[in-house]
Amino acid sequence: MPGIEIKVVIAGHVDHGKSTLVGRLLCDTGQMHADRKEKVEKRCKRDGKRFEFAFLLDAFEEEQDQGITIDAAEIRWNFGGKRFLLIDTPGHREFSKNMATGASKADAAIILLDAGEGIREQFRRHSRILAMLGIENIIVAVNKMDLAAYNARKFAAIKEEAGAFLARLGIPPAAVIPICALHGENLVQKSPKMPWYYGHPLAGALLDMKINKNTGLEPLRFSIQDVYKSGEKRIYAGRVESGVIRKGQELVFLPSGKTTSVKTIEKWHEPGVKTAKHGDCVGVTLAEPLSVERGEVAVGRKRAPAVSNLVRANIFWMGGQPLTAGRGYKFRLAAQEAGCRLVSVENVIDADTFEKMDASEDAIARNNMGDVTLQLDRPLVYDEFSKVAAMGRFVLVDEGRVSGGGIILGDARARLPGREIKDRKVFTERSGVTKEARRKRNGHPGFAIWLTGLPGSGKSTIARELEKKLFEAGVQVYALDGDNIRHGINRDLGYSCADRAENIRRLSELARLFSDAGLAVITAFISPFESDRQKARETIGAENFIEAFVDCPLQVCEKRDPKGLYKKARRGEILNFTGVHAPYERPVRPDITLRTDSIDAAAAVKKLLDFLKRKGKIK
Amino acid sequence: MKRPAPISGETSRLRELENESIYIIREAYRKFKKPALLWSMGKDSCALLWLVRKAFFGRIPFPVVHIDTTYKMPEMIKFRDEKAAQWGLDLVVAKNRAALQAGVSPARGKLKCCAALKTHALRELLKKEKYNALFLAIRRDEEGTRAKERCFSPRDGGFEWDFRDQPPELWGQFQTDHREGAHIRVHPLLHWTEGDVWKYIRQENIPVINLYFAKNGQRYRSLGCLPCTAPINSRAATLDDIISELETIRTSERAGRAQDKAGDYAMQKLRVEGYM
Repeated sequence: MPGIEIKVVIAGHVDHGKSTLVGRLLCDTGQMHADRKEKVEKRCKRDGKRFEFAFLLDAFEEEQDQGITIDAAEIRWNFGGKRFLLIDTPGHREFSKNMATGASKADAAIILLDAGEGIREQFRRHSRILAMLGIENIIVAVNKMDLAAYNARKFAAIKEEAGAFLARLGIPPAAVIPICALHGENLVQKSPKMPWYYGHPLAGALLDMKINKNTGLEPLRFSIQDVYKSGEKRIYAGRVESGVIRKGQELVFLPSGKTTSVKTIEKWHEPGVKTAKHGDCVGVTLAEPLSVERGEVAVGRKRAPAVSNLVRANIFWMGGQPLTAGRGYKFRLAAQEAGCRLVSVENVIDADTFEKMDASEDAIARNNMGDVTLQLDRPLVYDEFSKVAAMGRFVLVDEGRVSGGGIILGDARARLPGREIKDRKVFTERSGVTKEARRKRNGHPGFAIWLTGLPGSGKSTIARELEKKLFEAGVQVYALDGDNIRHGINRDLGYSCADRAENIRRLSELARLFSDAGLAVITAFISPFESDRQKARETIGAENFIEAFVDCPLQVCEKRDPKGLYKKARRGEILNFTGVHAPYERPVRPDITLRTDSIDAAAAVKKLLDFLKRKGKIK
Repeated sequence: MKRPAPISGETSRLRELENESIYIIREAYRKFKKPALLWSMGKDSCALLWLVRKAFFGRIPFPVVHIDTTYKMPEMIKFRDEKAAQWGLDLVVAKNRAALQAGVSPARGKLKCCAALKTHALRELLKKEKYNALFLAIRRDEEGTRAKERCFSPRDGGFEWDFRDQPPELWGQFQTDHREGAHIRVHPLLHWTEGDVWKYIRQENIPVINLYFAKNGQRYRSLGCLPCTAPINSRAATLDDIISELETIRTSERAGRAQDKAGDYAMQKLRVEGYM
């Protein structure tokens, strides 16, 4: 018998026959214990009802009394030399979280439909959940064909509608099968009552399914679950979420960036382990003992994951309170955990119509799905779900309760909401006063010096000094910094990622107007993201834009801490502080770099002035 | 250590099961300050103890609890004391002395007896020791309500299982928060079958009580209190015999356990109140 088991979730609308199907499959293949069957027989006889196959799974008194399934049941089933796990799930909307729990581990799905009722709300919701979970092996079973007089046309109509719906979700069914679960028709044996159906019965279709388990070629992700010390030895216990880890291999730990190599792979009672693969829970010892904590992810040199505090994701929300921007959540992915806030909702799928709704409310209600941008209070390691599934799915915890599940679509940074100006030509060349005329009168062209660097690197000090020196040299100059921007034109903005991007956008537009007016303008903002600075360069115009990188190591900046902000951030009083929780992306090609850990502000200003003279910006 | 020859096709499956269990065990140990393991000396909790040692590279870093009803088979108590000494277990034995003195026994009502001598004794112990997580070796294939369990299953301060509203459990992300006085039942073997456990015992050479092996045409398939547990007719005298017997057996594992049959939904009623 093959070792690997195929996990099949049974989904579909209320009363379309999910539990009956599973009960019947077990009985028809002789895999239901006699005493369990007797118990159900007794109960049904007592109530004067026919034998309820569903009761074999719906074990709770409340489930049998109401004829419903409350929670998912998992049952082993062997057929045709293959091993299956059948996951029977509830069809009611209020138990959708239990369906999602059951479906989250599945490799394949059978979605049931009632031939008389056709596509109903929960068919659509379950299908969406399956599509989100990335379950691509789908079989549709059109049930209760007996009540539809085994009508081929009726079946064909449902087949077409269901097939088209699923294809739109990106999960076209491998087979659509007419069945009657109650009478066991087209389950294990082909039914003579539907001679017009040429395909496999359900069990045969399950055998036919091609499940792509891991190939072993995926990039390595070894997630540290805990660190155990025994004497001198430190064992880093974790799970290989993807790929293969080998003795002697070099490892990079993220997000810390520490590197070393695997000394040994440890399993109790199994000496000499040389490799561990996807799914294995092992311990490793390292060539150099590092202080690496739970949550770090060891990876290889190539095919690195994202390390970011912004996540774009598709979420299924199961919480009692809606997912909203106003609340704080916990984000958990593999062994990592971080505080989390909702930045924006890009679109919400309506629960009943399944049309995209207006997402202006920035909230997702219970049992709905949507695409969202999340902001974490520190950068975590992740992959896109489509690339490394185990590192691309997460849960959100609301007040201690797992309340949402999501898959990662990508890094949100590239898609932050910004109100871009598409056609800039409309605004230029409108003035009768030319750029050249302004240059002549001022004695210099307009330009912008964009200072970027960590908090405490010395941007503001340099900006003030430089402004003074340029003014004394007769240059029309003005410095924009936090004080005159944040408290004025941008006082409606906070420190969320969206607001930060908007802050930089407005700043770029201001700098553009100032330099257009023929002035020298100096900006002193952290501006941590390369993409934002790139946009500023485009807005202001590359020929007028000077990116000055105020480069100073984090430790030095933190030691200086002129405004006491690092201390506050370390105490958790400020969230999303660049350098502590949020990343700073070093400029790729700055026009000038000022190493303020080795030169003082005066020297830095001199360097800038020399640079401006060399470039012909000032005399 | 010499291992028996692997059963064809089973090695990778047992490894998958073992990995999932170890992950759950390590996760619970990391998340809960005061866990304990419930040991009945049965095959499942012996396999669980073994998995705990695997997870912690030979150690068992928390107490091992036995709820003693005083009706257990003498072989079980002998096995308990032998292995506790041999493996250096931090063994905690708890009894409901008041109920025993009041004469509670299976003869005066099986469900009442289970509730008093097992559930109540456990509740009192948890109150006293303030354990906030309990490792249990229950499995989904044992019984209908267990088929619907979570790996991390919250019990409130009153010990109740709210099966109507269980927390979602996705991708190995478990419910780990709980209120003061409540606890979480941790079920690392939930996804195993009876056959899996026996195959694993064989593969790993895990010691089990000899009551499981047939003598004079009978063996115990499931162990419990002497008055409420019946042996089955069987010739399975070795691990291999048991494994092949299970391939064809037509009754369920707990068919010999009287409390399961003490009225409709007996197990649900027991379990909602905090039974294992």
